[in-house]
Amino acid sequence: MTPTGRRLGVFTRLPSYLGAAAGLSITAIPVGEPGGAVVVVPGSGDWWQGMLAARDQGAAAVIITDPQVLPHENPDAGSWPGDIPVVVDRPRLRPDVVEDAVQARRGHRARAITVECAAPAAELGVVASDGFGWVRSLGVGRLVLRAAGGTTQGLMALMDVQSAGASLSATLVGTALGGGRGAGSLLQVLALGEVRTEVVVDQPAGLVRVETSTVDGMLKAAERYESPARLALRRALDSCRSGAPTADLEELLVDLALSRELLQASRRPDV
Amino acid sequence: MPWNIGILGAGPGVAALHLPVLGQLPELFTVAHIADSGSGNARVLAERIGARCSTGEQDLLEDQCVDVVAICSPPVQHARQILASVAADKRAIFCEKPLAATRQEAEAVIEACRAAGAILMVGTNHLFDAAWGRAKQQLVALEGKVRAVTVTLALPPNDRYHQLVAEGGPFQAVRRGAPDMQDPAVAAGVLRQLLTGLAIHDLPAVRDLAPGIDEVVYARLAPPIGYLVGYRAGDVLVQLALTMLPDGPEALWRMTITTSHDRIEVDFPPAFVHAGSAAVRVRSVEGRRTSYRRHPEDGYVAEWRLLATLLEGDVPVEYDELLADSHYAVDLADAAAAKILEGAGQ
Repeated sequence: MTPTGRRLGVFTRLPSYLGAAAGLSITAIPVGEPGGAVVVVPGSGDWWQGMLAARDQGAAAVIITDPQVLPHENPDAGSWPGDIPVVVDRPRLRPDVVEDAVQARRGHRARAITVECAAPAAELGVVASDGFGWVRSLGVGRLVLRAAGGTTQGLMALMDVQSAGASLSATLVGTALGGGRGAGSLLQVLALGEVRTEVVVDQPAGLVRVETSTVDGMLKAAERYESPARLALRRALDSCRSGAPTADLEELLVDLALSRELLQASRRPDV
Repeated sequence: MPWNIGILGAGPGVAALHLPVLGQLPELFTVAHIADSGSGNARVLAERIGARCSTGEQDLLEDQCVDVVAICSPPVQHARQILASVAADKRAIFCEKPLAATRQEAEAVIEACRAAGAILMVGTNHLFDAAWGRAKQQLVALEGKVRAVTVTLALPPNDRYHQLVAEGGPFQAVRRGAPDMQDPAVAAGVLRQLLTGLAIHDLPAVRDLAPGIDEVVYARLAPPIGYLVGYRAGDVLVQLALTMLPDGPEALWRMTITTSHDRIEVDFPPAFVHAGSAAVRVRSVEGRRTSYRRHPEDGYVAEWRLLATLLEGDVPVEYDELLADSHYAVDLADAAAAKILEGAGQ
């Protein structure tokens, strides 16, 4: 929505985003041209080039949907001009669900964080990057890979989560799933400590669960029924309206870079 | 007639675990004798159940009434006490985990027990939990190839659970000064103790799925007390994680097995309590979840029942498996400790 109250255009052919625009009919309207619109770039292809092309065509904002592949070259956030908002739709790392998980900890720092993920081999790197995103969020710090190993069908890593004056350990174990109809990714995160957070994102089951346990019992976060597409579109519209940038792209690139580092390092014993 | 048991050790594990469990099985066992190393706890415990008590091992081992010696002393004593029990011509030995501190000790005790025909059981209670049998059945039925095994423990202090199964104590283990974790040798030693004292619960089951230790990828202590250990066993990745906290939520004790298609989760109840078997859940590659009914009996009761079966001669003692389990634990502890020292040297 512009300051004058007009609806902002949404340039997409993806049914999920056309549906999302219909669910935001006061602030958004589908349009046939990218200029001045929120442009939705599918994450299944070369989304980096798609994002640059959208900007060149005058997009007001870009949404990258569920980036499925690592770009061939590891892009640098610095090579993106940053003059328009970029929102990344990461279904396994929804910002509202992340916020639920972080808020429920009430500032209690985790003692250790473990991530387990399973996905078809081609997706394992991206699912691992979402796992890193969870560690970064729950650990409230920057991740540094300390050790990595792997098998033909799996990988494992030890990391430090570094924040001001403190560090905690985190691990990730990922395995490739065999083929078959309906195979999809699974991500489970455990932040261990005086407050324990357990996150399960099971893509084929359509399950997203956040549970926070303390000495008093367990709190299960309310289900977030807003579709990932509507959430991403609403955030893009909000960013356009407020002028406040999002950190989505920078965070995605950080997580993907770590995932790439893990994939390379897991084939040799020391990082 | 019930078998008479003599217990070496009178700490929290005896007070809160074995005496209450054996009290559930009066048709199988009677506790006849308890010995401590001078703490006086044996007398307190023995008086409650009308058993004899003594200080040191000798009186108990010479007690002709004792058929079975239950070794519940500090781990460093285990191997020597097993050998002493065999030398005293005892019929059976129940040894709390770990069996031994070194490969050589393990070989010596297995050789002695085998030669004497002494029955030997190690109290790795999770291995006897009906849920573990269920999980193994699932693995066979699902025909998946195991790709990763994780065992994650997040434990509040034990005395939270001691109070739920027994009264009177002693429920506090002997307190020691905080070790200097900045010293790599001390840190390596602490990790070794944690692996052979806590991870050992599940290592026989892990060995079933991931035999051999090809490479320790990482090994680290997690403060205040805990560890993160990752290793590769052939094509299987294994991670062991522990946090022990002075306060916190309900215990989490979970083993997960990820295969090429499925994920099996086994959630064990907290130590000491009697809440039935572990809970088993299977998640298929399509996201379908199946939860299985808990067996009413826990692994603690099951292990003592199995010992009774061994005493009746209905099943043979698996000496080779016991030895291989012990070797696996010792090898892992040594390799993980070496990894810590290696990291310190870099």
